[in-house]
Amino acid sequence: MLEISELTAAYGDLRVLWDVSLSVRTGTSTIVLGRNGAGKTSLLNAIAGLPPAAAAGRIVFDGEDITGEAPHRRIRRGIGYVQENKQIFRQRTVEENLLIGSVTLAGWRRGTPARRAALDRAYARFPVLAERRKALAGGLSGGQQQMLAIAQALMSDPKLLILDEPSAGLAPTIVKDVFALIGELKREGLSILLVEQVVEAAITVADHIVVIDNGRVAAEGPVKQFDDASVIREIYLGRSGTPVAGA
Amino acid sequence: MTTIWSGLVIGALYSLVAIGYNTVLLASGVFNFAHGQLIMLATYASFLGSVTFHLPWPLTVLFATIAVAVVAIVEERVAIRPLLARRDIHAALITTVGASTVMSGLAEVTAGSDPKQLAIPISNDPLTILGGVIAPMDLLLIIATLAIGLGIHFWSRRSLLGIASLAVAENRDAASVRGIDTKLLGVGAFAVAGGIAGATGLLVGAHTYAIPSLGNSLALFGFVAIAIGGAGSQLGGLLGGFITGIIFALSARYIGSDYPQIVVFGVFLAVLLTRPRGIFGRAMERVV
Amino acid sequence: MSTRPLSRIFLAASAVCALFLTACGGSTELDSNKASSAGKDSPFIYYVSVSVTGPVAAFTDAEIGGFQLAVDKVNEQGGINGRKVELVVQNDGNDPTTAVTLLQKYLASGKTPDAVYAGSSSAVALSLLPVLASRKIISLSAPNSKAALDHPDKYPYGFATTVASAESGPFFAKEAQAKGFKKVAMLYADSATGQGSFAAYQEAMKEAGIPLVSATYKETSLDMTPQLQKLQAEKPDALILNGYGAPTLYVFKSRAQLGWDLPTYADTLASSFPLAKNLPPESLKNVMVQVNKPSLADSPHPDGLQAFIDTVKNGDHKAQFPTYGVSPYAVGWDNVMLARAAATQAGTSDGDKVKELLESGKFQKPSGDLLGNGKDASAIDYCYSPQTHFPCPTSETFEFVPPPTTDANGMYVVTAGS
Ligand SMILES: Nc1ncnc2c1ncn2[C@@H]1O[C@H](COP(=O)(O)OP(=O)(O)OP(=O)(O)O)[C@@H](O)[C@H]1O
Ligand SMILES: [Mg+2]
Repeated sequence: MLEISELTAAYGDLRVLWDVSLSVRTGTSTIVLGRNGAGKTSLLNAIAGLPPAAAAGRIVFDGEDITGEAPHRRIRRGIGYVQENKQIFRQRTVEENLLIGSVTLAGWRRGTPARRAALDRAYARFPVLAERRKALAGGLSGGQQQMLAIAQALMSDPKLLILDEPSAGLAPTIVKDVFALIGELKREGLSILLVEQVVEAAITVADHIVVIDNGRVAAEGPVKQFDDASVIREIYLGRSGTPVAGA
Repeated sequence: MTTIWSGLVIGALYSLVAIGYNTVLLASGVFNFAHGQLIMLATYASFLGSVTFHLPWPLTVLFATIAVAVVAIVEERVAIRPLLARRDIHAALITTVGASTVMSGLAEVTAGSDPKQLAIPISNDPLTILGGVIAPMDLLLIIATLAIGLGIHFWSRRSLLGIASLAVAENRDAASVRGIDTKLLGVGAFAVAGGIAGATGLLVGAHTYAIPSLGNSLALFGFVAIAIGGAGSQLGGLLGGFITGIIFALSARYIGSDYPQIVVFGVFLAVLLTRPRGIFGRAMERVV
Repeated sequence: MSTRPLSRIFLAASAVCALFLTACGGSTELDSNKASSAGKDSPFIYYVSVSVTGPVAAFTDAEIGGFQLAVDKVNEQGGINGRKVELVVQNDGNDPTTAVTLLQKYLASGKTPDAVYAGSSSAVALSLLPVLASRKIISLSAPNSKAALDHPDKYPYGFATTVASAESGPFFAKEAQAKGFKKVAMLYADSATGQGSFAAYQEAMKEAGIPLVSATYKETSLDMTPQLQKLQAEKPDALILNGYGAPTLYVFKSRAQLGWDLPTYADTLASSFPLAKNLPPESLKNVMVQVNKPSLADSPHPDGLQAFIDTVKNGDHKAQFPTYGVSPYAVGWDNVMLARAAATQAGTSDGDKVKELLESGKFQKPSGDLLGNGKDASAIDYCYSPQTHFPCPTSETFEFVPPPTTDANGMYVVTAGS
């Protein structure tokens, strides 16, 4: 599904990723772990076509090289990206946010059958959004905003869903809901690439783990290899032994 | 009432500038300072069509629409695109000022600084409406501005494309990873803004004549209009323009002709200080 | 042009004198030897500071055409005081600093002009006059701003050769009295020119005892209805309008729209804009513009004018003729002719002597040589005195006419019925 080989990426001249290789196989999930500032978001952005730009290496999606493509083309190929910090359009209503997510569907009218169907599916999956469809997105609670962000990414009917710390800043019960949802999506056949800090919860939906440190792959393997608590501790404490805030 | 009509006419001009500013601002986050110049070029295109080529008015309007849309697209390509690629929206503001200077300079060099009169399709004998006099073309200008302003406002709120452009305005990157082609939308916005300027060139020029200095006269007050109405709100810009025009006319008439700019800028400052999002900036969001 | 070695040495000596002993020219003892009244072998230098480039380039080209034709004519007739006239044209780009730098460089090179045409704008004139004053060089030129330039105490050697536009004020006041206007309104641009024009009318109306109400507009205004309404509420008997280009058109459009057809007079600036070409006759009802009488096609013209026009049309500078008509060529011509008359009548180009002559009232205008001031130059009175260095208007200078069109020679034609 997604194959990244030896990716080096930079914000202008500032390199933040070096020789990163990872893959997400169809129908499986890969989680990316790493300390604050390790380069996780940068990696996801590079995959989606936002800065940092690839300076070397290749990103192959669905058998095609998408390394230099514009973001909207990658999304049209079937990548859904839920950015960190519940990135939604706060000044638009819930329904408008969902419609924005549907621009990749055929046609430019808002009432096409495909669009209606996608809306119906979203509201069926997230009843709370249906209730608040006319409300401004910025007025939703944190959990609802995160649901909206995911629902929006699902509107384009992606094959691969990329999520950046979807649990950040949410109450524990809602975190549970989020992971339940991710598990459900995975069962429905969606491939998943997830960046998380809440390792215990993340591991429940993971098939494969990649640890990024200082912009490089520090460790990588099937989830069972990471059962050893010492490895997890290393991730959390970092090599220098300083605890990581928020962990 | 004649004073009010006069205010509405200049207000319509300011509103048209505000609409142009907002159209581009909403879709690409760039403040196109050169929009006043696009309107100026539109009056020249309409002069060419109606006087030089003797075209009937629908063809003049079509010709001006296409011509100015093309100029706007060229402006986007040359002055904006390279900077957006470098994610430098602030520099883009400066290059639009540069583009503005180039356009007015070119107009002055090629057409001279004397005003040119357009051929008008209807008799322009003044009408008396509600106790005030107004020229028929000026009345049409007001009506057309209202129609365009309201039309584009509702279009941007209701249509998928409009909502997409609002999304780009709010967060360009986030919009692009929702699958929106932000570059295309950016060029499209310039083309639409240019097209609207072109289409109204005949009505504007009927009032102002074609003159190179028109762009500069309009740019500033168009800015005041959207500051009053709220940047990014088409309805706010539309009303802001009319309000600016009426304040201008009333203060010229009753306070003294030395004061209109002072009064308008006083209101402008008061709005900036008390309601930085403009009088309608917030209210509109909730209403529609 | 080749100069004989001796006179070259003489010139070099004068240069040294000019550079190190600025008092040279001042001392009466040395008067007969001073640089500017050099021997018959050295040319009479007519120094012209104008803008050959920039927005007024085309107009300047026409003026230069006039200078050149006049210089050729004068040389053909034996030069000035027996000296051949040499035309020196300096491109000041209409920039005061450039103008001064060029003049100083020229002076430093050891040459001294016998007469100077000090720029096409008042700003340039203002920058050159002090330098000319310190070197006692006569300038005869056509600046506009009497208020800024007519200071014989400060600029004793600077003389204007055209009637100042401020004279429009008194001229209008006479018209107002004749027409019995009880109250007059003026609408003017909020700019230096507009304020200058207003000041001229204000003073004249005060003298005439007629109240003057006013309103201003910014040059970026796009509609003049409120300003006109404000003035209309004052119920004036006549309106004076200052402005050029689009603003004047907006005024007449709003005036027509308001149905306000009171007598309306364009000031000098507004009169120079082709109103009749740009506005329908309905909106110009009761509108008068102030023209220079000699520019009317119907006025009696100087005998040589037609021949001059023919020469211009076939000359090196003919390209500008269709745009500007004969007027700028005549300005160039007349200034050279005046310089000749002054130097010839004074018998020298010595600044003090020429100044004395011009101020004495004994200067005889070279009526037969002048082309820009009507037949026998009757439209101008060189009323110079120690108090004023600007000429006075005569009854033949101005006239109010309905907005005219222009004929092929750039002369005004008043079409009947308008
Ligand atoms: N727009 C940017 N321009 C330049 N450098 C950036 C930019 N965004 C991030 N960086 C830098 O890139 C490095 C990786 O940041 P990134 O946001 O990818 O880390 P992260 O692993 O997502 O951290 P967190 O856990 O805090 O989200 C950091 O050193 C950061 O300072
Ligand atoms: Mg991050």
